[in-house]
Amino acid sequence: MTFETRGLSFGYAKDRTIFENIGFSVGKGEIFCILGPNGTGKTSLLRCLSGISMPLTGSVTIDGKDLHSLSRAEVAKRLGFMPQLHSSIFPYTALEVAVMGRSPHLGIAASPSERDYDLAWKNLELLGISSLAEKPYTRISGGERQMVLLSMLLTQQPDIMLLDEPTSHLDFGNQVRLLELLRRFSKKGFSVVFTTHFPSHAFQLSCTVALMNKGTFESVGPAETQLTEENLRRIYGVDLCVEYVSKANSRTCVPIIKNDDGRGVGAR
Amino acid sequence: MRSNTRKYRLMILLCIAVTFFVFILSISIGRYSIPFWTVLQTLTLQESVDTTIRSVIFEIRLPRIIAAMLVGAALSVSGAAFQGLFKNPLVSSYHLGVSSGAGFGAALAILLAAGTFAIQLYAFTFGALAVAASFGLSRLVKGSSTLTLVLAGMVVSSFFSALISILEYVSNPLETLPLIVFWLMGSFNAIRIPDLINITPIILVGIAGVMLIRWRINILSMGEDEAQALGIDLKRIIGILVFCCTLSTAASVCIAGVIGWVGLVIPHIGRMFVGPDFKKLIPMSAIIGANYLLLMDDIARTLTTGEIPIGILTSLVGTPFFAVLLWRNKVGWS
Repeated sequence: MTFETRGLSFGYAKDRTIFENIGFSVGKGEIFCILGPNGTGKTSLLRCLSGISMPLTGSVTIDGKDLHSLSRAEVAKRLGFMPQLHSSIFPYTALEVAVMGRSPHLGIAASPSERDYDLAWKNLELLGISSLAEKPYTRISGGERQMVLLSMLLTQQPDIMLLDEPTSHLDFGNQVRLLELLRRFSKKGFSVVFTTHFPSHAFQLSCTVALMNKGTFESVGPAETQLTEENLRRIYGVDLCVEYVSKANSRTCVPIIKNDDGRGVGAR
Repeated sequence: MRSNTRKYRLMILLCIAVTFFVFILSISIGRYSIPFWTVLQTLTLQESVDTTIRSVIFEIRLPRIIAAMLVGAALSVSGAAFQGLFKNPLVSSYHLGVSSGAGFGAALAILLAAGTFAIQLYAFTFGALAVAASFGLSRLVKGSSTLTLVLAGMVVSSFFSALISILEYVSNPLETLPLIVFWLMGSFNAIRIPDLINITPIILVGIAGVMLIRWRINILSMGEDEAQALGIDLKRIIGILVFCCTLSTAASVCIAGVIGWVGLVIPHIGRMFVGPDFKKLIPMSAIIGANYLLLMDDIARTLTTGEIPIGILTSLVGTPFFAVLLWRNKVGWS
């Protein structure tokens, strides 16, 4: 399985593009992380990659087949997309939301069977949120909603998962659990593409990183070569340091907030 | 049973039992009251029943009762479907202009001094045309979404309302104007077996279409992006839904006139019973809607010596009921 995009550009008008000429490929079981400042087009990129938005130029292919040559359901069987923010008008229970992931696998006139509900339930359990199963989706927190959406994505069982800032609303523990889960799924052969605002997440997963800035990929490569202090400083425009933490056996990125005299002001 | 199916099935069975009771009750009451037992005897085609009773039941009451149930179910099902499609719990079955279109068609036919069947045909045709106009208008907008469809529906509705006003203005205030006004208020009074034969298949096909794809409405209501990401072909599913809902509502309006506040209120009552899941909500709305409109029509024909237009009754009952739902925060968008 290869997920690939070539020469992808998108914009709401030809002369005002959001991003331009983006290309990369993700193999089976690989994790691909997109990092970049606000407003650089990460969400638009994921929407194009998932086939929701139509790109101006370029192609997105799964195993050489163009996304737009496949039917919606065929795409959704192989490619799942988890949006960053989502709410619903109607107070469906978390289980009812999770089971919606079965949609591409069911015929147009079918509704989910007991087995589909069981699968959705198992995924709620896997994410440790089975206690939310009967709760209305509209009355749980943003982070809980994000976890429910993730369980819906797992219930969809796609080969490739596109996640738009999956950790943005999660507490510290759930962020870590989500990273562990992504790692576990990649080991099982799922491919993952996700955007994040935390360089440390890319270090922790030791994955391929694309640095996205001003609507294009500046460079793509392994986390340790891409996420240098110099690159991160340039992209985010703040002072920071990247250190190896031996206890965690991972690098991490720490911002430096400075006093007037130029020294860091954090707690010692 | 993770999907609470057992509780839901029990509830549906219970509702069907209630429906049966309401059905027999409705046949029994009226200006010429018929005992419960005689109703059962007549329905089971026993020879001993008086022929007058038989003709009252089969030729007058039964067509009217069946029509009220069909229309109640059709308006409620399409109202629920539209609320999901438009992600808006304040939308009703008439949102794409079917009622104003049909009203215009009926008014036009009345002005042309056409017969009952022609009035129905005009109403049905213009009701469907109005929806087609809304649909076409929304498709003109690039990247058309359900939001543009809602707006297009409002435009087309208002346009046909204006046309109705014009026809009312030019009509004869002593002869045709009252006919138009009464038609718009809705009534099951004139329904006989031939009317029923015309509309029953159309309404049933419309309801059946929505029934078949009802679980998909859940996914539609999660937003267009999510629906697409979940493999939904938006254009196709919206097309099927609007087509089916238009069939059943246009057929309803063309025989019964404009009956408001059913397609808006009944889905909310359904949600109080089975929750927002359209898999359960659509059948529940159909049953509740059928019972509700049948009871309203019973009141319309028995409360006074004359006949109360049913559209007035449903609005009188529906609006305060909806206000209570709002007040109790039961409308289901939070």
